Amino acid sequence: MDKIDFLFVGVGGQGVLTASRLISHVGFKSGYDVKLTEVHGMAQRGGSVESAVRLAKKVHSPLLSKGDVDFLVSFECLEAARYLEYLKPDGKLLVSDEMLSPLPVISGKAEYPADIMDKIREIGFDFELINASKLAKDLGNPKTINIIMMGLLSKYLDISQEVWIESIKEFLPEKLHEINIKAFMLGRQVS
Amino acid sequence: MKKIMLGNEAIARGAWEAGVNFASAYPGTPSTEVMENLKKYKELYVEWAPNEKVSLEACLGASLSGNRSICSMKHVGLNVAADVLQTLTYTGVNAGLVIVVADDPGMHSSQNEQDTRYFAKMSRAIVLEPSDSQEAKELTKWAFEVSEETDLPVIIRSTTRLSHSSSIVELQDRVEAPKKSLEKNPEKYIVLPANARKLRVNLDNKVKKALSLFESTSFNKIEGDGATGVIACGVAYEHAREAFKYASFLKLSTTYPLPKSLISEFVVRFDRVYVIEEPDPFIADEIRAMNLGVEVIGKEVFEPSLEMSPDLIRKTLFNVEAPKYDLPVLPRPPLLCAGCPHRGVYYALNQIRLKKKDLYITSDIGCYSLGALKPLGATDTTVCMGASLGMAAGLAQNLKSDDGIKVVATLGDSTFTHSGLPGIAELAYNKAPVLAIILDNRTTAMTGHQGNPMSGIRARGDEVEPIRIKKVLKGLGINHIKVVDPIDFKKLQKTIEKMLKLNEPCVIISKKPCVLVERAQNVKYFVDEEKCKGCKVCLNVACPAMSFDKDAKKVKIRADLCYGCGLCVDACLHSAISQL
Ligand SMILES: Cc1ncc(C[n+]2csc(CCOP(=O)(O)OP(=O)(O)O)c2C)c(N)n1
Ligand code: SF4
Ligand code: SF4
Repeated sequence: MDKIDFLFVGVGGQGVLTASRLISHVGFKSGYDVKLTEVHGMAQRGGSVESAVRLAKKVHSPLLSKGDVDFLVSFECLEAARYLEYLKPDGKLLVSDEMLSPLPVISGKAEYPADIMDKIREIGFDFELINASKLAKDLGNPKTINIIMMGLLSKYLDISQEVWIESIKEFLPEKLHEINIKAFMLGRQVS
Repeated sequence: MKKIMLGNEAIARGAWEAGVNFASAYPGTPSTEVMENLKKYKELYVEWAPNEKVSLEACLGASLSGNRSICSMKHVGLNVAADVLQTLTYTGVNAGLVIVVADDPGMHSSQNEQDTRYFAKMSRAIVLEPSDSQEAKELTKWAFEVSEETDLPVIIRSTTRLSHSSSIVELQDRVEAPKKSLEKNPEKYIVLPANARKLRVNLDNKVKKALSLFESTSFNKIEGDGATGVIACGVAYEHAREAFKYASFLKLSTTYPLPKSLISEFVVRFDRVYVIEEPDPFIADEIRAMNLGVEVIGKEVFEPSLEMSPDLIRKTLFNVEAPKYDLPVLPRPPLLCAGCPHRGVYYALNQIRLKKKDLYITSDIGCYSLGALKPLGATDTTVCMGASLGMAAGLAQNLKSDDGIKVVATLGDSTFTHSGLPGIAELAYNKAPVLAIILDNRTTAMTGHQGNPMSGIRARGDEVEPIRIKKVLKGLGINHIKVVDPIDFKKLQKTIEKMLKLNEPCVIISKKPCVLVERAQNVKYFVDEEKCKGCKVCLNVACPAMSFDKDAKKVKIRADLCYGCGLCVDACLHSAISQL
C-alpha cells in the first residue's frame, strides 16, 4: 500500500497513545515516513481520546481526512461510533467490546446506546468486535487491552511478526515485555 | 541517527544542540513538553518558574550573563509575559534568547484562540514557524543565531498540531555556544526615556537586519509550478500540501518580519493567491496591505474557531463535504477523577446552596475548572489565571449592600503562586468580603503534575521548603485562615458556613494531594441493592466510578475505579452506600 492511515480512539486511561506510538515505531522501522498526532490536556481526564498515525512514502499533514482512513481501532464501542466518519467505506473497523459510561450516563441523564454496534453494521460497515477486556483480565493484566488490539490489527498488515516483537521490546519498559508480547500474540490469534 | 519526535521534543532537541544553557518555563498545554524534554538533558539548568513573566525575565537575566536561554509557554502565557516582551525588543539580548509560544487554534485546551503573531508585530520580536518536527529542531537551532545576530528575542511559534504531532528527526550533536561575557551596558538595559528613544530608533534597524536574513534564507521556499498560488506557514503548510494537489507553494518559515520581496516575486505570478495559516489572517492582511493587485483569499473565509485541516480546506474552498452518519453518540467531556479532592469542595458549596444560601462562585484555571460541568455545575465564572480573586473582589464590593449573595473564589495552588498573590493583596487591602478557597492538591495537575512553589518540588525532582502559605496570607493581611482536608467535607462545609458569616476577606486552604500524585486511600465503597431506591440523587457527585444500571434500576460502583473518598455515602439519601 502506498499509504496507510490509522485512527486509534478510546477513553482517557485506555492506552490509546501507547498503541499509536507503537505502530508509528513499527512503521518507522519498516521504512515508512511517519506522522502521529495525539491529544493532550483536558481530554485525558476520562474524556474521549484520539490519536492518528499516517504511514506513507512522504506524509504531509498529520491530520486524517474523513472517509479516507484505512483502519479505525477503537478501545470502546461508543468511541467507534463517534469517529466512524473517518473510516473509508471499505476500511477496517476493529473494536474492543468495552462500554464505558460517559458523563451523561454517569449522571443519570442518558442511557448508554447498548445497540450501537448493530447500528454501525446497519450503515454498512464491517467490523471485528473482540472481548479484549476479558482476554486481558485472563492474561492477568487488564491494562494490556491496547496491545491485544495491536495484535489483532497486525493480522491485516504486511509487517513481519519480528518487527512487531522487536518494536514492543524497544518501546516498552523491560518488565512489561513478557506480558505484552503474550498480549500481542493473543490478539494476533483471535479469530 | 533518526528518531520519531514530538514537535515539542524536537524544539527541546534543537535548543540542546544549539548549546542552550538556561531554560525556564511555566507549564501550559500545548507547550509543556518543551520543558519536560529539556529536563532530560543534563548539560543545562532547568526550572519551572512561578509564571511566564518571571520565566522570560529569568531568561533575559541569563542572556545578560552570557548564556543562551530558552523559555516556553502557551499563547495566553505570553499575555502574562507581554510586559517583558514589549521592552525586551528595545533592550535586545546578549546571548541568544528564544521564546517558544504554542498557540491553540480550535481551542483544544484553552480559553481563547489569540494569534501570537500580533504580539510579535506589536513588539517587533522575530517569529519563526516550523511545520514539522525536523523543521522545529532546525529552526530552534537557527533561532539562537538569529537572536544574537539581530539583537532581538526570537519567538518559535508553534501550534497544538505541531507541538503534539510526531515525525522523523535527524539528530545531531550538541555544539557548545562560545561563552559571551557578562554584559553591563546601561544605555541598552536601562530604558529611561532618553535611552528608550535611541533604542526605539535602533529597533527599526534591527528589524531591517532580520529582514535581510529572511529574504534569502532557504527556510522560506518556493515549490511546484501549478497554476494555483498558495502561501502557507506552520503545520497549515502541510495541510495545504495535502489539500491543493496542483499548486505552486510559497512556504514561509519567517513570519515576522515577512520577506516582502520574496512574497511579491511569488504573488505577482498569479491573479489570485490563497494564504493558508491559523488562527487569524495575519499574513493575508499583510499581503493585502502590500497592494500587489492580486486577489488574496485568507483565513477570513473559513469558519472561525475551527482548527485548519485538509478537510476544512476542501470543504471551505472546494465545497467537498466529508461523510456524516446519524448515530446516537453521547458527548464524553473530561471529568474530575474518582476521589479528586476538588470534588469535595464543590460538593460542600453545592450543599450550602441547597440550604437556600445564595452563592456566587468565581473559579479559575486548572482541573477544578471541571467543577463547572453539570451535574456539579458549582461555579459561575472561569476567565483567566488568577481572575477568580480580582473578579470576586469586584463582585463583593458591588454586592455589599445587596446582602444575601456571598462571593466565594476558588483557585488551585499553582494558580495561586502564578497570579493569585496580587489578588489576595486586593482582598486584604480593599477589605473585600470574599471567601477564597485555595484548592491545594500539591501539584499543577491539569498540565501533567509539575511541581510548583506551593509543593516545593522542583523541575529536576529535588525538593525545597514549600511556601508557608498561612504565613504568606497572614503577612498579606488576611486575618481568618483555616486549613481543612476536603475528604472531611462535613467539617469543610461547616468551616465554609462559619467563614461566610464573617463578612471579611478570609481564606480556606483545602489541602489534599491529587489522587494521581498520591494514591493514599484504598478502601472501596459499594451500593447495597436492597437499600438503593434508584433515585439517582447520588449521581450528582459526578464520580466516574458510579453509574446507573438501567436493567436493575440501581446505582452501581465499579470497585476498580472507586478511590474510596466516601463522598457518595453522604450524597445518598437512603444510606445505601457503605464501605466494602
Ligand atoms: C497564563 C496561563 N498559563 C498557563 C495556563 C495553563 N494552565 C491551565 S491550568 C494550569 C495549572 C493549574 O494548576 P492548579 O491551579 O494547581 O490546579 P490543578 O490543575 O492542580 O487542579 C495551567 C498551568 C493557562 N491557562 N494560562
Ligand atoms: S488529576 Fe488530580 S486534580 Fe485533576 S481531576 Fe484528577 S484527581 Fe483531580
Ligand atoms: S467513594 Fe464514592 S464518590 Fe468516592 S471514588 Fe468511590 S464511588 Fe466515587
